[in-house]
Amino acid sequence: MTPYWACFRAALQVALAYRAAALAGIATQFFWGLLRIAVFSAFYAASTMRQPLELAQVIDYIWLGQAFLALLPTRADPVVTAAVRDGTIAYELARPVDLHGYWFARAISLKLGPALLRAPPLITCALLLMPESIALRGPASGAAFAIFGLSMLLALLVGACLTVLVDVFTLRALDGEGAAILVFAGAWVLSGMVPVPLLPPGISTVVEWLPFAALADLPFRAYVGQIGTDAALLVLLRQLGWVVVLWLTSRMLLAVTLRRVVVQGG
Amino acid sequence: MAHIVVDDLVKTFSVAERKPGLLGAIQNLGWRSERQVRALDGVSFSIGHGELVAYIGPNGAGKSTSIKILAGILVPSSGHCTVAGRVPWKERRRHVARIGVVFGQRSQLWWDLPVADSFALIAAIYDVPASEYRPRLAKLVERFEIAPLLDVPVRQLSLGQRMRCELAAALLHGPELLFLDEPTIGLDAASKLAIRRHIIELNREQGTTVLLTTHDLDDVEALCRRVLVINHGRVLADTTLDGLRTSVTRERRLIVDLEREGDDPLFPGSRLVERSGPRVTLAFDSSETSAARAIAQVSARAAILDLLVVPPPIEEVVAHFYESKRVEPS
Repeated sequence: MTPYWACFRAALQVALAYRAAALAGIATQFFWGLLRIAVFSAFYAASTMRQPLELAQVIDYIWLGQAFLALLPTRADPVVTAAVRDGTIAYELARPVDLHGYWFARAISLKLGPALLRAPPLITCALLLMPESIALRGPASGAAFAIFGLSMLLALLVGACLTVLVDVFTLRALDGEGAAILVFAGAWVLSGMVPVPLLPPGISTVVEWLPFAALADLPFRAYVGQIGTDAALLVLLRQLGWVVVLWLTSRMLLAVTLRRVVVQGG
Repeated sequence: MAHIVVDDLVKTFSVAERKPGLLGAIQNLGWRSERQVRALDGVSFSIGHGELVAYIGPNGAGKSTSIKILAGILVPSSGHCTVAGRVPWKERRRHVARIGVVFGQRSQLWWDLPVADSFALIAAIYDVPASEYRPRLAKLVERFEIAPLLDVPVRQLSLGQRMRCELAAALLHGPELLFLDEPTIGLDAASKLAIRRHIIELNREQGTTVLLTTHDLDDVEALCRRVLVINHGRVLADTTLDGLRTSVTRERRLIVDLEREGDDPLFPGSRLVERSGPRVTLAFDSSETSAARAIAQVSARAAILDLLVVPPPIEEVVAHFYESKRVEPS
């Protein structure tokens, strides 16, 4: 068992230790999903223009968003934040691991743990228990599902990279709130709260190229078939590009920061 | 070659000086002066294999900074040190794989997980093979008497229980060197005694080199023959506790229980330290008056039930020592 795998397991175990939180999360996300569907149904009923996504596609998109909400980087790693504040970071530095890799493993498990707990029941519910008009449908095609799978994997990595970047800013400034607000607001609003193709044309073009779209919007659109197989390669490369850029940035920034780190107090 | 060699280590921090108050806070927006603080100002010492050394000094003396540099956590401003032949901050990962660290004020265990899970994770982080891990864990569990605690989530442990688990956790990878930064801080008397006993056993049986910082001089008295005293970033003394005592004062205390309260046992060359009821404490200079003469003098002056000659308490000695070096103990 390598250190990174161990850390991954630890975070998973912690996530599993809080069953009540998982149950509450599932219930919240389920009802929030119904609410979003109601809003978009009203929007579509009132719209006279042809939209880039069918209502049925939007409904699928919403259910996926609710199921995989836990994958979004919407909060700082509480352990890292606390460790930087109270100096326990000293212990993390006194361990024979690469801190960047260690934080990355933590960031992944922090998202994957809750997502693995919440997604299956939510998807089952949305697939099988909902009336047909608002149920989640299967993927557009086998190819769409394959692209969706790959794209979700990359989405997880982009999310973890963003969390690590916030971790590094937290270490640099004792308080990563500035960077955190920027990243987390982006992750909430621009990742697909409103499906990116439904945003005004100019805005949607910009947003599509931001790392936030790579967190959820792109894979969901692949699932519903809005991103076809011909466009898929570009989308996957875009996600991969963000992984590489964010990974390298956070890694170099951490290396510089560690040279001048100060752990205060006894 | 010595286990730890520290040569002229210097660490300066730059501290932004901020003016207090609202007006000061506004001024700070525009202009802030930086002040260089020398936490370590040329520290040198060396420690051999299997030694158990206390590193003492007032708050802010530079103890923790030294330990953090030795543990590879901080990079010094200048100077050199090697631990087991390695430069800690240059080969951090290989270095920390061979040392154990306990910071008394912090925890390395996972708050939410049972102790046993934390141990397994730490072992994985240090990449300890299962064949080594199992017998070592069994031994540590026995040594620190933590078998009943293994299934308990860390957050439910008392401080004394947690500290025993922290020590065990720091030893899971079988380090040859242990840095203990205030391991007994906040513990009750019984837990302190237990921790001390465990440290001594570990040092004797495994030959583990131990460098320990503490403010509890009973720790030092119980554990360490050798004492490094540091203040203002410099090593002031490298000696034994007794050596420290004699270098500061030749004073001895004579505690006398009188038969009749109010008798005056004071003799020329002695000084009254404390009188409470029939118990009187006198101080005398052992280089001028031998203990035997002092006892004879006292018994000639008053009827005595019981008496005891003791050196001055180590707290006073150390406080005295800091003062004699013209520094303020904090």
